Amino acid sequence: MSANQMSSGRLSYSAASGASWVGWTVLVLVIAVAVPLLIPGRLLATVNQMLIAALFALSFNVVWQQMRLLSFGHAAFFGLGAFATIHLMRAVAAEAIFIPAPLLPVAGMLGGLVAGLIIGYFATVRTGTYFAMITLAFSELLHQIAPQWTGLFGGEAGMSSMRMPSLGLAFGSVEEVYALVVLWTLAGGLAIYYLGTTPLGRLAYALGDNEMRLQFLGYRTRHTKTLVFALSAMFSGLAGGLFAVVNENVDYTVFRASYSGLVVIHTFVGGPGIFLGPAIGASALTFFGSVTSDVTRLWPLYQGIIFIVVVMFVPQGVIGFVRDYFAQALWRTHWRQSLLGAVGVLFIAAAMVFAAELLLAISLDPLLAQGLGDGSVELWHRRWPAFGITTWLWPAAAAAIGGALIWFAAKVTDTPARRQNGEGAL
Amino acid sequence: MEPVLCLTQVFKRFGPIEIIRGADLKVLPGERHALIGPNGAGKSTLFNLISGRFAPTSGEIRLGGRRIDRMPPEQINRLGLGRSFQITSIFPRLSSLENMRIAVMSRHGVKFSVRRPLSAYSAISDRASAILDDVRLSDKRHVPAGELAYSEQRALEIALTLATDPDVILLDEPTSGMSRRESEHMVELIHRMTDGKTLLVVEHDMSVVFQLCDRISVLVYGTVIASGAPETIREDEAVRTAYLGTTESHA
Repeated sequence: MSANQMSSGRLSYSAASGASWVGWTVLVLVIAVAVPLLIPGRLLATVNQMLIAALFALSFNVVWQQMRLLSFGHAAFFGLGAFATIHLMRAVAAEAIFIPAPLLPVAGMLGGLVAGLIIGYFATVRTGTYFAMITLAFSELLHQIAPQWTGLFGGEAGMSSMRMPSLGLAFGSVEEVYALVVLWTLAGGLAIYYLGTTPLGRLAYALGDNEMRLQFLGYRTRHTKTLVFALSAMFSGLAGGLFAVVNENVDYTVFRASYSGLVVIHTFVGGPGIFLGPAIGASALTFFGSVTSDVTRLWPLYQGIIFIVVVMFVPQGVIGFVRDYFAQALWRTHWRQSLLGAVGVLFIAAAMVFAAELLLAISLDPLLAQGLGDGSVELWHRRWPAFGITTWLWPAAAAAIGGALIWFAAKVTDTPARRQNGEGAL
Repeated sequence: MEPVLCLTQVFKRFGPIEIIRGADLKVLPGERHALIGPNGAGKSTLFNLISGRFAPTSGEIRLGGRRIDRMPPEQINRLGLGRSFQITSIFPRLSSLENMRIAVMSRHGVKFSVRRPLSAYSAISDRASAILDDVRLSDKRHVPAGELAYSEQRALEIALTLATDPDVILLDEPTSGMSRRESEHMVELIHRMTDGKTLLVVEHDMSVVFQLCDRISVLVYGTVIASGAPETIREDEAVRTAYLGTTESHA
């Protein structure tokens, strides 16, 4: 079911009734206002990063979901948007120009748009892998140039500036910055959604389906590709602009290839076939990355494993899976199997985390490496015999139990009757 | 009468293989012209040359007197030539109605606009709905095209081809893969929808050819060996030898 549903995501933009529009708007605004009241300031800084990552992923997915073009260089637009904004902030701080602080990210939009037009013009010569390669090449070019070009990118140290007070607000507290970020993210997200309903956006969907047919209907498809790519870059630039406003510092590492890769991971873990999938994926992974940073150094490993598992087993993404699950009302007929499967996944995850953390602890232990000490290693305030059978029995047993649970859940689900109906497991 | 579509000594080579070898073809305005020939004769290639998918290696193709043999497909389409595909070529993620909106909107001067949602352009929606009505897909207007039944997708394919209001219409095996009943339906639909237009059809089913067309050209090994009224073609000695097979006449 998965591959099919990933590609055929419902795209009818039936006009929502006025009442539900109002309801949703009120709900979103209430949440937006409640968040800073309910959570501590340190977490609010994380929320800012989550919102920026969500907007970045939404903008990236314009190119993939609509046109089926995979950009591996969207960090270029995020980074250029960030640098454009930091330059504007410096100009404001030097009192060379006056721009109210809330409008600073507009510089990021413009930077992203211009860069998107230029890079998009070249990248859209090709499709598929070659398109991805060209976008990757451009962002890597920036990554190499930026540390050398001190005037524009501030060299290795990057560029810093300060948010200046304006409109009666100091923009010194995290709450004030949050207000700015959440408003821009909501506005950007709405604009991206709206773009998908316009003639240009629908043309982009059609192009993703069947470019050749569009040509025989009289369309110069490269114009569509360049334009939509540039608009996607514009919103990435906006996200970069918000990043600059929040951090007050930008350096050349925003151009790194792994950052372009991160937005791909965020998007595909969340689910590229649903509008909010990338935003939720980006927020969740950013959140976990942030809260686990005190506890483990292995978050990138776990994120990579999550990415692999999602792409292999739920290619429609986590949110896509959840939507399908509820759309088919599987919780009603298969709640036991679902529960078993979920517990099984938790067991395997626990086994994997334990094994990975233990291996890291062993590899870092100064005594073990020299063959000194009692051969034990500390993990989670306990000492474990590094190569003891009992130590490794735990993850092995947990993995075995988890595997058995998943196997059993799949077995009882995949009955002959279901197979005849052409339905898959779980 | 001046031909609306005129091919003169058209050659097409793919590497060492020559598919089209000096094809000449004249299609007159308003006529319904069938292009027939055995498998591998180059019928689809000839369609691709006319519609701009490939450029000919040499030779001349004129549409309404203008040379089109070096033009990209979108430009040829804008000069008033529409084509359908043998393998259904639609937009599977979009609904039937949106398929038609996309096809119709450029003729309403809307392309890269972001000023309103596409569904808010009522003139475009009206025209799109009208064509869906004509091909009897109104009930399926909100169904993603990829989920339509095969014969419905074929009807949508024809509707897309006609949506840009072309004067010259190229149909590549419009009834391929259809049952007898579906195929009769399709012939009726084509008759109704292409009234007064110039039609060039590739078709294997000879009963469809005789129902639909008033002139036939026979393509064999990349050359048009005969052109004429159906009766003339039936009696043509070269055609019988090359295409219909000689066994009957010598039996």
